[in-house]
Amino acid sequence: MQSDPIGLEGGLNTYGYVFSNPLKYSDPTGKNAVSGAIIGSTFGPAGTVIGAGIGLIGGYLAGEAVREMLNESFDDDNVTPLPGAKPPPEQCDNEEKDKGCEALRSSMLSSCASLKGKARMKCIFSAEDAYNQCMNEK
Amino acid sequence: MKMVAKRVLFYSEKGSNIRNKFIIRIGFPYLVDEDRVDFTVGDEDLFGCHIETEGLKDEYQHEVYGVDEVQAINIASDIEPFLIRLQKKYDLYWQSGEPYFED
Repeated sequence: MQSDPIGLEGGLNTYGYVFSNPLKYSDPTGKNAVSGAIIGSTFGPAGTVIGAGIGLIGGYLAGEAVREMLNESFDDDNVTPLPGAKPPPEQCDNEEKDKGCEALRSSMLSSCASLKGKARMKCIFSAEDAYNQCMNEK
Repeated sequence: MKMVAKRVLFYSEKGSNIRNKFIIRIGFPYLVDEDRVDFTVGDEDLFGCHIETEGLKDEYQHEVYGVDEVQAINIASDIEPFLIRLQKKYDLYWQSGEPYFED
């Protein structure tokens, strides 16, 4: 599990790039998050080193993805559940997804707080776009 | 709620011919109090707009934000994403009877 190595520069929530749920989501393409730590814990000491390396690179790329989200639009096609992750119960699915989309927006809005002027305005537009895409992809 | 704009539309349940009126209202922009939101506002002012519906089975309430009143209203007035979501559940119509969405 890798927090965003760019720290708070990418937002107060350093797990925002995985919808604040690093245990459930990963990013096999490297655009969002990488489950390096999980690889490490699965394959022992050697795997830990490899996993940590992958996690470091993946975390950096994830930070870039957050920047991309703020500048362009949100694309959660790259976020896939980890193998073996259990889906949430059907009846709570929509409510949980609503909360997930709202958490995503809040995380992005928090990131906007440190910006000023036009950059802040664009950031808020991006947060709202990300929220709408998230909600409409349900 | 002090209202700045509204849109009146009709909806019907999928497969039903019964049309019901509903209203989407956009509230007057207000200065956001950081203690009342779940995100960091920062040093600069942030403005919010409340959006709500009346007439739907599942009433909708939402807040949108902007660096000033104009951006808050701008975002609030873009109700299409909400209506696209609603279209998955209902058929939507203008007051004239035309379908809201072309497709």
